[in-house]
Amino acid sequence: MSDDRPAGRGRWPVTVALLALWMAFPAATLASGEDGVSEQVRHGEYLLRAGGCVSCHTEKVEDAPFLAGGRAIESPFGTFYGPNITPDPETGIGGWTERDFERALRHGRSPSGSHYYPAFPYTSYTRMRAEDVAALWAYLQTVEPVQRENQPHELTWFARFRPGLAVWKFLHFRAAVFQPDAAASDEWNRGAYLSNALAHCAECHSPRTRTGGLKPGLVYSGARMGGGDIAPNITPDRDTGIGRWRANHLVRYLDFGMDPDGDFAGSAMADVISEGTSFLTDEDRRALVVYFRALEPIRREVPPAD
Amino acid sequence: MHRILATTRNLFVGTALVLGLAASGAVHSFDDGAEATIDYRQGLMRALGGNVAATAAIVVDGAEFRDNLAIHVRYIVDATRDIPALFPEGSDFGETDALPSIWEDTEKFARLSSENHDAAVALHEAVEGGDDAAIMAGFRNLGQSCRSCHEDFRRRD
Repeated sequence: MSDDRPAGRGRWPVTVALLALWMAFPAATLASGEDGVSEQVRHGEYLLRAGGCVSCHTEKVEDAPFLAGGRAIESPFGTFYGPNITPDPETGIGGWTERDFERALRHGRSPSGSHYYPAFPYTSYTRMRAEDVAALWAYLQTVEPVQRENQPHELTWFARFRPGLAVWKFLHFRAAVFQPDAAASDEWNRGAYLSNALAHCAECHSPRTRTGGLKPGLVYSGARMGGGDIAPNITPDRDTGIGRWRANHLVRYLDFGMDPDGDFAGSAMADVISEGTSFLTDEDRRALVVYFRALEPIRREVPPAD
Repeated sequence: MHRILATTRNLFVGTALVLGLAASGAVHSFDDGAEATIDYRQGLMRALGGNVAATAAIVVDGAEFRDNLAIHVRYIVDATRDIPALFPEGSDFGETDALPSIWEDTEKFARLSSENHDAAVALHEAVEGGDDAAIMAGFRNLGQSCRSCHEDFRRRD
C-alpha cells in the first residue's frame, strides 16, 4: 500500500467498507458445512490436488500413509525423496508455524533458514495467492499425523553441496506474485494461475539449462525427465505439440487420461492425473486447456536421450 | 544394459534359428515367437484404443452411431479376457513400452488386468440395459481402470 492517498479520507469509510464486505461474505473462512469441515479446509484440500502435492508427498505403494513422504523423484541431480508433510510434530510439519509454511512454499526456505532443492516447486508456488497458502495450511492441519522419518535424498556429489542452492536461487529464482493479464479472459487467467502457480506443469514439460533453470523461450516445449521418459511438448504446435488435439480431447485427458487415439496415459502423467487433475472441476480443467492452447506454438521435438 | 541383453538374446535366437534351419531344412518365418507376440499385443492394444475412442465419440460426444456401441464394447470385453497372457516371460525387449514391473509384480498386474475386464463386462451390461447415465459411468470406470494399469506398467505418457 502506498501512502499517497488523498489526506481527506479518514479511517471511517474504510472501516464501514470492511464491515460491509464482512457482512456481504458471511465469513467464508469460518463457515462450516454439515460435516463440520470449513470452506477454507475444503478449499485447501482442492488446492492440494491442484498443486500436485500428493504425487511427491505420498509413497507409491499400496496403502501408503497419505502425505507421509517417501516418494522417489528421479532427476539429473540424483534421487529426491518427498518429505513427510503430515502434522506429526517430530517427523512432519507439526512444529511449523503458518509463517514457516508460507516461507517454504513461496520462498523455498525451511524453518531453520536453509534453502530447499527446487525439486520442491517453490519456483511455481511462489505465485500462490496468500488466501490459497492459508487454505492449504488449514487443510494440512486436518491431515492424520503420521510418524515417519524422511528418507535422505541420494544426490550426485555436486548437488550435495547445499550452499550451492543459494547460488542456484540467485540464478533462477525470484519470489513473485501472480499477475493476471487484464487483456485476457478470466478463463485464461485462471488457467495461467493453475498451471504457473499450482500444478507446476512447466517444471517437467520444459527443457532446462545446464545449471537447472527452465530454458528461456522454450518453456512448455517438452523435456526428458530424470527417469528417461519424455514429458512432451504441450505448446499448440501441430506437428510436435498438442496442436492437433481438440479442446475436449485435452479436457478428457486431464480428466481420466484418454488421448484422441483411445490410448491412456501411463507412468508419470497417469500419476499426475490420478492424484491431481482428475480431482479438479471441469471448469478448471477447461481453464488449463484454454491456457495451453493459447501458448505460443513452439516447433520442437524433445531430443533423444544421450 | 537392456539393449545389450536384448542384442545378446537376438544373437542367440538368430544362431539357434540358423542352426535349426540347417538341421531341418524347414522354412521358418524371420521372426521368433516373442517378437510375433509383441506385435500381436501391440496390435490388440491399438485395436482396443480404437474401440475405446469410438465408444467415447458415441457415449461422451454423442456421435450418431449408437447402434454400433455394442460392437465396440463387445470387442473390449473379448480382448481384455486374459491380458497377462499377452505378456509372457521373455517378451520384454525391443520396441516395447511395457515396463519391467509387469514381470516383477505379476500379482498386481494380474489383479489390475482382471479388474479391467470386469469394468468392460460392466460397461457391456450397461449398454445392454440402455441407460445413458449408467453407460457413461461404466465408460469412465473402464477408462480409469486402463489408466491405473498404464500408470504402473506402461512407460509412455
